[in-house]
Amino acid sequence: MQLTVKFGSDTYTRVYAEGTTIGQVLADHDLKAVTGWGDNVRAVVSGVEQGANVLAPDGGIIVVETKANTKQN
Amino acid sequence: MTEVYYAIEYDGTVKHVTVTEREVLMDQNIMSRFAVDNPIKVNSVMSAAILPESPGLGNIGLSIKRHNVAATIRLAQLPLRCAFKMKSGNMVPDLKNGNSDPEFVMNWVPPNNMRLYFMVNMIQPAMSVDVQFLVAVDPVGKHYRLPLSNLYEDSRMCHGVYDYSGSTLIDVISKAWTQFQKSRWQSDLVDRGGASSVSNSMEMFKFKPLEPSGFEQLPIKDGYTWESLSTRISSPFITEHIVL
Repeated sequence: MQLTVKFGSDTYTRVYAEGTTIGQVLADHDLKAVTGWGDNVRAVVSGVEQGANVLAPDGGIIVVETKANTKQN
Repeated sequence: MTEVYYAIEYDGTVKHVTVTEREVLMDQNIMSRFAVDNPIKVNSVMSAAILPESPGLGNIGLSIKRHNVAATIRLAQLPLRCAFKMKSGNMVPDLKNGNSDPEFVMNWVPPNNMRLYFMVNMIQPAMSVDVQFLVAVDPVGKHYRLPLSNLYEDSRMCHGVYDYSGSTLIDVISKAWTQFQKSRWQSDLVDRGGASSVSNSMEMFKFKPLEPSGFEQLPIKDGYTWESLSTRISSPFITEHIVL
């Protein structure tokens, strides 16, 4: 299946196996290498944050954003 | 100005048309009508020279969307007010022990291929600061978090408790800017740029002591770039509101 992944001003189109999850896309070493994103990111599809176990949408667009964790005092 | 004319429609009817133009003050209602879905961005709204202690600052750009008014200021230099230590004969930030004395202030000049921005978002109509960001931008527009403390993962600044209220927009921006200038880079959030954030800060921000006095900023050493020492970020808020 084909996915479009957006990170900042970059857009990448990738082909993944059927059944690929959001978590697997976020952990994709090739994408991490070209985009520079780390482990601290989240995936948003149609404005809604997706869990790691959710199936990636075939033909869809995943927007990857940097997570801003709050401070733990 | 009023313009009057007759218009013949396709169906043959004739209409009397009056167009009236008049200048109005840009008030909240009008701004809201323009800025419901997309922010209005205005470059160079005013010179940042009106801010206190503002050498080399660029102009202030504004982005307005609903109740958000975000000001972007390009920095010619970054004030590093923090603890420093000696490393291989050079002064480098000691962010890990950021709360210890002594405190120095070094003004770091970004490399030519980095645009560095201070962003302040204010919430209308209360005119209070909501969030602040320190964002580095590369020549093709990618955004980065510098290897510093007091920054969340998305380059949002931890600015503590501070009275940012003001009666005008420029009052609030001035207060945010003054607080940014005078605040110390502590050890808070130092790890949010990744495990190598502290060592990267020492590679990026280096100053060589000069005889008899003064310091010279050293370039980033061969094999490294400021991008490789920073963390690439993707923040919808920054993307939407930054005025480059």
